[in-house]
Amino acid sequence: MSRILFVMLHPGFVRYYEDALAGLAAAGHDVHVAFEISRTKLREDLTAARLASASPRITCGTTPERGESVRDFLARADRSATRSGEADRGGGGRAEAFESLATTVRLLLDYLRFFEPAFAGAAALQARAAKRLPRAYRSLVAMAAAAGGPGRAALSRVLRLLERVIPVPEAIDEFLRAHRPDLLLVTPLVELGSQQVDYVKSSRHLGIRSVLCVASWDNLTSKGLMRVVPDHVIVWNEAQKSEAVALHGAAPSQVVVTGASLFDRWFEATPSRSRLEFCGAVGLDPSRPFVLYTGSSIFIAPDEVPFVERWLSTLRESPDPVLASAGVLLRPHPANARQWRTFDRAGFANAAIWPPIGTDPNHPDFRRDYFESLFYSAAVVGINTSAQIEASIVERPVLTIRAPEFAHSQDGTLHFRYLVGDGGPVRAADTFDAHLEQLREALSAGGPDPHRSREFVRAFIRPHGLDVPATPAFVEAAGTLADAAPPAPRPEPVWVIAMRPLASVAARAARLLAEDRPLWVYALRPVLTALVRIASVTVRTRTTVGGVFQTGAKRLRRLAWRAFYESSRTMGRARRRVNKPIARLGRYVGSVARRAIRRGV
Amino acid sequence: MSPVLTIPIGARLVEASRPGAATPGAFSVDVLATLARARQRGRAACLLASPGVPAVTCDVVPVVDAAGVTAAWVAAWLRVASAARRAAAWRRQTVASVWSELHRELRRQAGDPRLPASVRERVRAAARAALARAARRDADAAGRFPRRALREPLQVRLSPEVEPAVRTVAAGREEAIAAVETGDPRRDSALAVAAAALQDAGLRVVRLGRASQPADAGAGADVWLNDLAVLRQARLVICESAAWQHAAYLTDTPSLRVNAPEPFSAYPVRANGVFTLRQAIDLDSGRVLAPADQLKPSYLRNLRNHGHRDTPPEQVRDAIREMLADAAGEPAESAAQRRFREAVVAAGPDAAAAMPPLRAWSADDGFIGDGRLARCQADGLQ
Repeated sequence: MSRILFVMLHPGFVRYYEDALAGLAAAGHDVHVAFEISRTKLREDLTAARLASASPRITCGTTPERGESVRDFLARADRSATRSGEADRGGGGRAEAFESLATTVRLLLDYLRFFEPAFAGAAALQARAAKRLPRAYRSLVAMAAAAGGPGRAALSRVLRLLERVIPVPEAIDEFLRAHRPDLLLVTPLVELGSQQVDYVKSSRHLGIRSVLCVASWDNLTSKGLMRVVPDHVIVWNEAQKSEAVALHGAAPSQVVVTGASLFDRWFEATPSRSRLEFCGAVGLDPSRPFVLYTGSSIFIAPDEVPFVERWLSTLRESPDPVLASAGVLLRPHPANARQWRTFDRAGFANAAIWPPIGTDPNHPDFRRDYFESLFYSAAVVGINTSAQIEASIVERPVLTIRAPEFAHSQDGTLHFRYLVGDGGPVRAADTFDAHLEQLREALSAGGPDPHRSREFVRAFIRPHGLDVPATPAFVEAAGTLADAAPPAPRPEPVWVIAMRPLASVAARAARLLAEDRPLWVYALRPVLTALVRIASVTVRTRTTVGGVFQTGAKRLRRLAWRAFYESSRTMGRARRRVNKPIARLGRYVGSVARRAIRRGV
Repeated sequence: MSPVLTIPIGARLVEASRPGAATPGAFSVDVLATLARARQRGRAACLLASPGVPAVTCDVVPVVDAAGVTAAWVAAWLRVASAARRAAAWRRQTVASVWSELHRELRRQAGDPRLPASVRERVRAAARAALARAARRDADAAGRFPRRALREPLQVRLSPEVEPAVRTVAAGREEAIAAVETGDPRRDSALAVAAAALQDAGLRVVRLGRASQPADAGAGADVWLNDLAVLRQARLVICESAAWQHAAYLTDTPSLRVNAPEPFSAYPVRANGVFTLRQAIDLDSGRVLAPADQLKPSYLRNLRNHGHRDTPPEQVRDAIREMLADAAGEPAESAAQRRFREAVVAAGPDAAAAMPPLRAWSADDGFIGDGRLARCQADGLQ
């Protein structure tokens, strides 16, 4: 069977493809999952370890280390940070310089896309992309955007040309050669400034089939561009297919629709305990229906708690006794749970936060609790989150309120329209009063039409039919692509290689400009470096000369001492040598004299 | 704060300014600072009116009527002064930025392990000196909140021309009223609690702010007049933003500020001012920080790691009771409240270093204010 290499940004993406990877392994494919960066924020490392232990055909590892990751690039651009000791690393090597250029070009392309007419109301998405870009480039993009469509197109062409000229790091080519995969899968590829483009480029040169697996419903509209379109794109549904074609330039024939394998488990799940037991565990009154509030990510809802407190107060003040006394289960988004520590539950009766803040999302009970929270709820409320899709699968009424503080992340994003637009499962209200009316209807016996939810789920999650799970479709699609004949290697054209010395200069400039400093600093830097070097040379010279003199004087002193010492010893020996016969003569004279005296006497 | 200039008008010198029209708080602070300086120097004051804000007079300081040629003369002076101020601010900011960048460059060089130790030490010292210069320039740029100038109440009156309009606006409000800020409709729970508590105490609650004008305000009535009329008549004002507490200084109305983000900017200048701090929560551990902890640089440097909760309703109610009791007699400061005030004064320099925007709000020559933290919060301190 085939060898498949799956490059993921971090282990957090495993959860999107857990079942699909198991399916590929079960189908006899050898799958190696390589992570670009490690992430332990939500204990994703455990997910990777669990995946590796699931099947001997699945292995996990890391991708080659980058000269400069996107994270490093962004850290270097942090103006508020003062770093010591970068003087010697300022220029970096050629490879690092090209990494900087690559990240700059990709961030520029990503920022530029949010000036397209399709993103007219997406100011927050544009601001998020701008924040990652060094300031020197923002005015460049603004100028191109001001020139309208032709300006944007011209800049985009230049940037895409640069992208082609930027060489793929040698380590990545070697990594792909070493694994010799029949199929390369990448996800998410569209993160702002993503370096996964290099894997797609490398696979083209080496003749390896590449596929982008679109992980989530917002990936093609709220993040960056593909920049280099892989051979194939696997998407959830027709809507994403249209996005891939219209917004990313993929050919319709390149796009494969499989459904969302991530949600297959929701169709089969059953509760493991009764409603009574569940309500007892979470701390809600089992005799009342409860509304599940599903929290959103930090970009969508940075200040969610004050909104929820207001919503809850409004609910409690409702004249309708059913609404006023309904239970409320608050479920923070796992990556945005910290802010919920400020929520004061004491002010609200029959309300609970579940699971408790800090619960490990990899714990087996976590998913079970989540399913049961949805299953036993009478209605689900949220701002803009994938939990609203999951609630639709479980066929619960789903509601949202258009709040001014979340305008940037509701109507300011394209994917929200799938929830609330025609055929969307979510009923949106512009005011609290309208929302309470909708909620009252949802809690009443009839509730909204479940047909609407089913239609949405069929179109969005299981496009091949409600009874056709997406995981086998994904496994089949990936298997077919892996078994197909590999594409012919596409070596770099000569003009690309000829342009590289020029690009090298641009790369050096990009490396410097990534620091996001005022331009005069770059002019001052050589002067300052020269001054410091001169000071350094002066100090070294002084030290050396001083050392020489010091050593010389010491030697002379030692020589003199030795000469004195040696001479004094020689003199002593000579003296003793002379003294000996004299003493002997004295003793002889003495003894002769003593004998003469004795005889004479 | 608008600049106060000494300008010759005819044969005499006057203290002149154009009170800010952005918020009633800015207006109040500018008016009071100008009058206080004029009183201190024994001169008259000249307050150049902006469109939409009322003219004022004062019982203790003569106020020159700025109209016609005089107004044009004063406006020209103020315009030039304002331009000069902006230019100076730009220059200070630019110089501070240059020193700051130089600091970074020198630090970058100082970390080069190939350099001799003595050179690295000297470069490091130069970097420190550059940073100190940048910080000094920043400090120069930050104006200081004129706490001392606002300390003494001045008998400020709206000019006779507008008094009838005020009377019209205030008509029918002879009974005791309390002014409550309308606030942000997205999070007004503390103000709602306060309004309910005031009503329980028998006061009629009137909302302050452009968002909620009294129903009896005439179509052409000026919103500034409405707010000032309400403030003048109110027995106390409850607010969440600094602007309304500052506005209360103009009419010398007792004020309670709830949910103050930190004690430095919120510390009331007048003895009839009280404030409560919102609760700070450590987002890692969930621990609720005591007010004294909110004075520490470790907290101010790490605000992103802390969330906040509104002042609890019972504390809001306690603070209102304290205010009402004080209104009946002389405001009394407890030992705990005094200790907290002293701690705020002492913590000012460290706090300003940790969070430069606080520099403008720290003690003015050792004076932070005669007001106090609500007793219910202060008594919990060591």
